[in-house]
Amino acid sequence: MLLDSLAGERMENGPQCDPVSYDVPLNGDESGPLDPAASEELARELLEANALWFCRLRWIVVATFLALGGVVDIPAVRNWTGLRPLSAWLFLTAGVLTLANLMFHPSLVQRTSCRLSRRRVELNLWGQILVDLTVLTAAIHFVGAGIVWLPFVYLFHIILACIFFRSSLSLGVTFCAAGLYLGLRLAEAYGLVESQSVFDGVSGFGAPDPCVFARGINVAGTVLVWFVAWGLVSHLARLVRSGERRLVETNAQLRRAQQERTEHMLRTTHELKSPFAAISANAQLLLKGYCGDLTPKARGVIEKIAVRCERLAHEIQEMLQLANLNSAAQAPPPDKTLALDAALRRAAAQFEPLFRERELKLDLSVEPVQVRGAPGHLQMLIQNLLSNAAAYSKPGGRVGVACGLTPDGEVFLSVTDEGIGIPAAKLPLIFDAHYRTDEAVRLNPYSSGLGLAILKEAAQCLRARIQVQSAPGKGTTFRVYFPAVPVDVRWNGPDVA
Amino acid sequence: MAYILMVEDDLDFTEAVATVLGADNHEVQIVSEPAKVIPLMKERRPDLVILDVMFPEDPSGGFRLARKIHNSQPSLQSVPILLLTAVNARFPLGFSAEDIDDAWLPAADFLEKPVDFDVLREKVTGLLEKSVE
Repeated sequence: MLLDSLAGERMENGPQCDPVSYDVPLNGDESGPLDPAASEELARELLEANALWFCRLRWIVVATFLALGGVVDIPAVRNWTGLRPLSAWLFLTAGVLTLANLMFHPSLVQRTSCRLSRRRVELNLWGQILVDLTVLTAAIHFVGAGIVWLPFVYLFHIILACIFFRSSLSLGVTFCAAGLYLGLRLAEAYGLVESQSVFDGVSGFGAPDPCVFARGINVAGTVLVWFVAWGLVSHLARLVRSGERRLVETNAQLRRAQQERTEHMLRTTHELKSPFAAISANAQLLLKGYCGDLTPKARGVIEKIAVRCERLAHEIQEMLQLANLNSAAQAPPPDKTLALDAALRRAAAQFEPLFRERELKLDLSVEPVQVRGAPGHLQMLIQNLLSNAAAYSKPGGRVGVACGLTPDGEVFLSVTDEGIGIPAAKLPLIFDAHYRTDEAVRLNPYSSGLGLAILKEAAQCLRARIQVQSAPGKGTTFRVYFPAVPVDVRWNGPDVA
Repeated sequence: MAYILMVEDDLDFTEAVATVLGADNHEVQIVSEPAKVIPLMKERRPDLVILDVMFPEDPSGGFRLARKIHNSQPSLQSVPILLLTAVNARFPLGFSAEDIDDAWLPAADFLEKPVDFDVLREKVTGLLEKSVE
């Protein structure tokens, strides 16, 4: 995603023409394998969203009932529609539904318990469905059980139950609906409760009262339609769920494979270190004269070995760092308050010889700010930013390093170089392991291409975000934004200076 | 001149280190099996132990040996231990990050392979001087 450059950011002496800004997406934003816990959480969130949606729908019903209750008491309306006075039960029903919403609304329930578990969300939905079915049965009784279309309102609940719950539970909802409706019709048929109707006689939307047999067929047919609807929808829901389960399993397999690959890489890289240490040690023995004098030709050969050893050592170190950052077997890193300014001063001193060798001028402008995280991660982040600036700057250039607070209270760290820059189209790729732009390969052919991948992972561990602003041929600015350190941990001194 | 015990299974590496330290007039004895270290130390107390962490039969044998030395007889407890290993501070191979906590692991210093001999010599000299004090 290309964004306009942030107004007000410091770019003194930096790139002057058409710098393009790029916000690096965090790993969580990318479509990677979803872990089973995340999938479970997603299902829970969906259920909770559905519970909320139920409540919203109920508010609409409450409003409709209240409006109807107000309108049907107007004599002209009653004369025109043939409705009997029904405001009392409409208001009563609206009251019951309001009470149900107050009981079941997830945000109201959450006030007493921080977050609803999936089980509690399911119970919440069950409670809502049972209340709705009961209120619906009462409404059917008052409106008139003979009205043909009314029992089909039960279908909404049956279908929704098929979507929310597994088949056995949605069948339970279907039986509940059937039990309540049949109970009402039987109670009315046997005179246990008096049949009601909102209509005078058969006028309005009512249907003529058929014979007992026809009524029985009507009721049985209605309930049969519900069960057929349940069968169809629950079958479809099962298919969707099994697809979802397969996705979750595939995700879990992908995660395991990714983890195994990381662990394997970690072990392999580590195994490389021991034989490599022996090669490096013996090359040093020869070069440092422990085995006597070398001929100039032999010295030249050993020097080549030593140089390649040094590069390989650096590459192995980077591979290990990246594998470590990716590894879930890693123990949780310490979460400490770290003085960013002190860490930058320390790193600047460490990089001073390299900068001098490359004829680069380092401008350090740091304010005392703190961040939270593991010292190792912060060190990796700073080292990779500085070594990247040193590697891709032109001799005689300036590297600006700054840290401080943004107006929003975030802690920022910026490293600006006057180097080769990065083409806009390649900005989204530079954080991929081993990716290198053509310009970078030309300038620094021996780099592993892992530095920015490590930088991204380290920033992720520090809960920081990265923004890159670059203009080819002019230079690049990397900005890292850290979350503000909470006041309760921002005490008189950091854990690590 | 100091007597240094080097516990390491990679002989190509150990012999190179022994050559460097030998040139500094130190006597270096190489042991490739951690089990033999304590009896050897009891026979003759070394001034310094240079210890690897991973051994073929025990991936964290060096850690175990360092603790054993620390809990052995008082004369050996004060022998400084320099960990010289390919394991780095963030390598999660069978032990967690707190395993390398100084309080938990009684080692005087830590060097990661591959090592620069000048750095190694400096560390060894520093540890031996501290040991004499």
